[in-house]
Amino acid sequence: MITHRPSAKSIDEAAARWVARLDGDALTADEEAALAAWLESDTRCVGALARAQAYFISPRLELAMRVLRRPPAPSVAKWGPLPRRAFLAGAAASALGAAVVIRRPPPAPGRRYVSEVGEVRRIPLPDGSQVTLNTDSVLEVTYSEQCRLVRLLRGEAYFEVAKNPDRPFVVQGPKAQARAVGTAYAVRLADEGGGMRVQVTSGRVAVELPPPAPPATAWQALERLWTPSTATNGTHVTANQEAEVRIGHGAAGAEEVQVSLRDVPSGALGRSLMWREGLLSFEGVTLAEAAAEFARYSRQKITVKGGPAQERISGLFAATDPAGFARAIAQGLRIKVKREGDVITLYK
Amino acid sequence: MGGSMLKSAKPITNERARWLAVNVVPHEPALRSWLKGKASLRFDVDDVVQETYAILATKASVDTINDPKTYAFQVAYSVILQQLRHSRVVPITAVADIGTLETVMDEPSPEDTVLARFELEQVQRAIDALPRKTRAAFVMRRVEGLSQQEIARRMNLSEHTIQKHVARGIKLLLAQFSRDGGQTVQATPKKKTGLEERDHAQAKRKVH
Repeated sequence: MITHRPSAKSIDEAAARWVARLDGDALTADEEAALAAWLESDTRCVGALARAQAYFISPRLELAMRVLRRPPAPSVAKWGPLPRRAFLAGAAASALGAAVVIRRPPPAPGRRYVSEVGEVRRIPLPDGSQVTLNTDSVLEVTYSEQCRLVRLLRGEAYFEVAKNPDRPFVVQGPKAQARAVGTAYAVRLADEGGGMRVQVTSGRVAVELPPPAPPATAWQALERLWTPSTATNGTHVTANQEAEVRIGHGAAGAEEVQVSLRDVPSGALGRSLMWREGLLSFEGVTLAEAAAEFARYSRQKITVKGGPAQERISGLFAATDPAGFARAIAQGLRIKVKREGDVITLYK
Repeated sequence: MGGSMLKSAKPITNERARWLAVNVVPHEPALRSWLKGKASLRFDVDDVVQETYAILATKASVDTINDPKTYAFQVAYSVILQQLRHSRVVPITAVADIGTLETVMDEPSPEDTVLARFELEQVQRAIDALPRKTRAAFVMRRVEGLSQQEIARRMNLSEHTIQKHVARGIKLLLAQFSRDGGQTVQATPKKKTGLEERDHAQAKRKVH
């Protein structure tokens, strides 16, 4: 049997015509029959049609067309004070085929504030916002035209933010940031690992994670810029809620940053922020937890031996007087207290 | 002929087309470059690619394919073997090469992966190289999601003409990623087709 074998090129051309035709209105009965006959004439037609359909709806082609048409919407670029222009420049560079490098801004020299152990400092900021810096904490304030940036380097601070929607107020931790326009909230860093807790007393704060590792390919960069989910990156924390940023490790060992949100009764929130008045308020925490909390505020450390460590306590204490706290507890729980240098021991 | 028994008288579902677009199309350049390396076997790369797509398109389910790239390479390999079995004259070198083919097939070599990629730059060049109206129609269809009918209304052209533009866009893009391999996009002078001459005539009319 001698058959005329069509070239791959002519099959591709026919496939392109069919895909365009199928993309229009419904086929007539004659066209249906013609298509079926064509597909049955050669297996390659089946493959060519599938390939043409795949190219026609390819998300990457669509992405490339979008980029050629106009730069991506700027709503995504919200990490820290990074000007939106930098992101757009990145996108433009990738459109030209250059490598895309989205860099975090170099740390601009900001004004640094430090509190000593046991010290609580109130710091008025130039825009009318107030910072209350808790014990043993460090932060750096950098104000620019677009953004009020505070880098919390250690410890905890409470922020009462003067409202200015055009100039977001951003508190940046090592692994996450909390963004607000006008509100009051506290941010506390974990001692290590980059964890962070955000407590909001009024208004609304967005807890945001940095963009994941720099994109490896231009496709990744573009996909991220265009994927709607990244535009809404940010867990919104409203009054009487707290967000916890935890650093874990995924199955592959890669670092995973997670944000969890929970409601906090306003009384409890107020109590946990009593440090602003130099007080520590406990409500049913274990003695061990209370001792750890006191350790933040004083060189004197409390250690609790044996069973009493799990006793639950409540009360209001001066943050910088662990010895007074230990005496009060010893009396209340009928346990013993001894002091050797900077170590206060509670024991049965 | 290909010798495959796969027959499907219907175009594939959108779902399958999307799966191919996401999982296979980006690896096509690597697949082609690997196939070109086996040129001594005297098969037609475009034929093998079309046959490979046919198998992937008509497979009952793709849910169990974990590594579509390796899978596509394996399918292409089986296509080549089948073609060799059916061809009357097997080139002498083929016997030895099938052996190498098998060892290579176990794991597509990393160079294949690195060298030939579905690059953004190449895709953009291909889109850029489309004739102006074809590109406009294509963008309205794919990016803005307008129907051919709506595009016809906006461009003040017949639906038939829009369909021709869409078909030509697909044809040129397919060609870009097969025979040319995207290497000669700008070097090739665009041949004037009837459609394009009409484009020009209209453009001139608009100026005056």
